[in-house]
Amino acid sequence: MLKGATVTFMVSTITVTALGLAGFAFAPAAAANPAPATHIIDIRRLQFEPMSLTVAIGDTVVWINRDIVPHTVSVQKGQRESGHLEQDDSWRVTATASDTLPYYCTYHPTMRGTVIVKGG
Amino acid sequence: MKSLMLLGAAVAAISGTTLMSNARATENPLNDLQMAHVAVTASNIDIAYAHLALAFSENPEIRQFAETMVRDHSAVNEQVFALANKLGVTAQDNDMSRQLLAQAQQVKDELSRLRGEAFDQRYVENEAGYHQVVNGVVQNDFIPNVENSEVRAAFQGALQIFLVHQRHAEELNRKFGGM
Repeated sequence: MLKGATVTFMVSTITVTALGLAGFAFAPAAAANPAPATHIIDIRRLQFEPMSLTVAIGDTVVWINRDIVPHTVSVQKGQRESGHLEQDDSWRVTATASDTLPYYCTYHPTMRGTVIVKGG
Repeated sequence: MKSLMLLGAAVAAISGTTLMSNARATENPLNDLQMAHVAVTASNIDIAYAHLALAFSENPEIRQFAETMVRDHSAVNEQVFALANKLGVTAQDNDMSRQLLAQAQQVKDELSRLRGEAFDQRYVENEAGYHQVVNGVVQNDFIPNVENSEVRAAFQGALQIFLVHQRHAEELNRKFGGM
């Protein structure tokens, strides 16, 4: 069950779209990729699993917090931020441009991961 | 149980008190319920340290770490209480828990007298050392000796959280500590 997923999604959509950020944004899938995929990154045992993920432009990445402690997903480029994710909360973004995007948890800064966006 | 026997002494060393004052405590192995009580007590102690940091520190990184300690240790304690409720048991107070509380009071007294960078240095130093010692006991003594599999799983999950805290505290100690 993705508790609070809808709220997180809606808040994030407004925030990221309003900022007009490149790389990750909430946007329709690119025309060049007719079958965008959805990738799950589990936040489990205070790690991002997988720690490194390569996706195509148009793909969606969903982070799901499986831990009993809250986390965030903070993408350093563009200062994109999931906000507070309780257990089973999720945050999703769609990749819109090629880039390498390191991210971390602001509550536990030693937790780090990277999303690599290819294509375009 | 060697490292468990050293817990009190090590915490005392961190807090600047003498080793000799804590030699006893764990001559007898703790049972599952006593280990759970020690774990909850250790978490509550760290929450108390964090509240001091939130009261006295103006360093944003240290304040954020302290907020994380309150949040995470509270979540772990809630999990322990939920498990105890499910199992129909109550954690048992014991000499080790009492010793930890007594020593923590000394640390809190010391921290309460400090302000500014002096407080920040002592707080992050204590956090790094405290997590190192407690994690060592949980890893080397509690997990191998606990009898109930659900309690063991809870300790294993908590340890993963506390090891991340330890790394975070060590980073802060390198950055802001007085070493």
